[in-house]
Amino acid sequence: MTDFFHDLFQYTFLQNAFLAAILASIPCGIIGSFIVVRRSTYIAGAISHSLLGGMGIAYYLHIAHDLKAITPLHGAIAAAVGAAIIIGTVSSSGKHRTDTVLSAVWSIGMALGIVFIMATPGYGQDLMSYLFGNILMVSRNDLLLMVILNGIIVINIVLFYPKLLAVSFHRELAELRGIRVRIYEMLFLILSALTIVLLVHVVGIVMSIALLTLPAASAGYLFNRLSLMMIAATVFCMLFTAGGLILSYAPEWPTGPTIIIVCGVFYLAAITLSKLMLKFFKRA
Amino acid sequence: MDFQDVCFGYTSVETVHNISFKVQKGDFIAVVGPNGGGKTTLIKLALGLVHPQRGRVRLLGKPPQETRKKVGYVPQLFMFDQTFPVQVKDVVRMGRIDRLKWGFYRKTDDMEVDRALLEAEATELKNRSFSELSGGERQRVLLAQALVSRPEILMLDEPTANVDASVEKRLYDLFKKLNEKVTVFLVSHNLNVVTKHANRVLCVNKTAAIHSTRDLSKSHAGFLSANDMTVFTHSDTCPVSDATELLKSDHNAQMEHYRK
Repeated sequence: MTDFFHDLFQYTFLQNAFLAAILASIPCGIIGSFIVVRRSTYIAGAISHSLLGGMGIAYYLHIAHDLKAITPLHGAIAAAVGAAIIIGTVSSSGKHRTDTVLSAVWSIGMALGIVFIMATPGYGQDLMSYLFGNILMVSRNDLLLMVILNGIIVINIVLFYPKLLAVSFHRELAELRGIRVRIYEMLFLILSALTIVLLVHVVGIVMSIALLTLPAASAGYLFNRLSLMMIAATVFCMLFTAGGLILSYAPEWPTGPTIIIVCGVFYLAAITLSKLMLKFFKRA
Repeated sequence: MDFQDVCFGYTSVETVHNISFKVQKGDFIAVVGPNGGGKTTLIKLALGLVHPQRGRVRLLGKPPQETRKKVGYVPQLFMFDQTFPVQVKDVVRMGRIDRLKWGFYRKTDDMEVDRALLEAEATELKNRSFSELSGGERQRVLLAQALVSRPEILMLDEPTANVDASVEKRLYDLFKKLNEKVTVFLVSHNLNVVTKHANRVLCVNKTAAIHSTRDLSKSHAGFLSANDMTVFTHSDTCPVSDATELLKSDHNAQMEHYRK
């Protein structure tokens, strides 16, 4: 652990990684709490896996056609927002089975990504870092984009929190009070998509659902208000990502999976703690 | 509230047919009728949640979509996620969500929440978790949510369906008290209680006719005791005897429910 803190002050890549972990934690705690209480994990899964399609296409254009302005992260943003709009439109129309559409978005996105990455000249070594994340590779430009995405997400939550809460809690009552439910549901999906983009560098596409849901679910066992749950989930997320980064550094374990294991252990501890508290209060 | 020759069905079969009635300011209207008779559909039509296939609905003189914000509504079965982390004050505040353009609730909203909780006799529940409440407590909180926007009409869809008799009485007394300020439009199965509190009864089944309660009371005195009630029903094909049968069957269902 001392190696980590020693190197943290010496190496820029480690400082970037640490900052990325903190930056990703803020929307992860906020949007993750909404995803948990709305039971939208499958939607988040579909959006996160569809990202690979956008990243693969952008990677192909970047390498094969020398379009340097387009990076995989740009592709990820386009794919995530596109997937969110498709899912939102289809589920609000009520004409199609939402789970089927989610499965289609999930698997077609992944398939497109793999095809384009494999078609790109070279070894396609980036595939693994997209799937499982590589926080140690975060650049200054990536950090800048993360700051911008963070700003967009936090500002929208500050502006529309009461409406998002009302729509999430009881759609019909919100509609009766004149809330344009479809607009806020779409906003939630787009904010979820942007949050998932932020998590790609930290834990990758495959494990982003775990980082979105486990800290928020752990907070849900301890707090009975969504606002408190969000704050706690953000703090937990910061602790887990920083903890995973520190733990994985010396033994050179992969950082993303280590972060998820830390999340999982804490989640089990939160379940146990909440059950013990329940027993204690019942006795009292 | 004004219904004129309204027809509506979720499928090709009409749930309500040719229904016409008016609700005056200050009324306490009780809507009675058998299951599947169209009581909840009537409320949905009044709130503009479904639209008539024929006829016209007006709420406070305008189409319901434009004026439904002025209605406080307590739904029949409040289906919600039991694990949703929300406190009573958050649920009540949601009744004022339409007044919020962006940002968080203001101090005046919190003051209105306190007033509504007081009116619904639920002040002590303010900081409790909504999912921990009993059926009666939950209904009082939903009533506070309906009252927090200072509605002109209070629509209550079987608000006592999941509570015991003592809580039911307390709630009906509360509705009667609230009727001093707002028009109450209440769907219920409990005829005995309804007739004690309502000043008019709207009897709904697929086919029925407008009857005075006096006619109804003559043939059905055991169930209806109020003297000055008017029963509105829809269509003119249903004779008085059918309307009383309708109420009788509803009463029997109610009795069966209590026996169970």
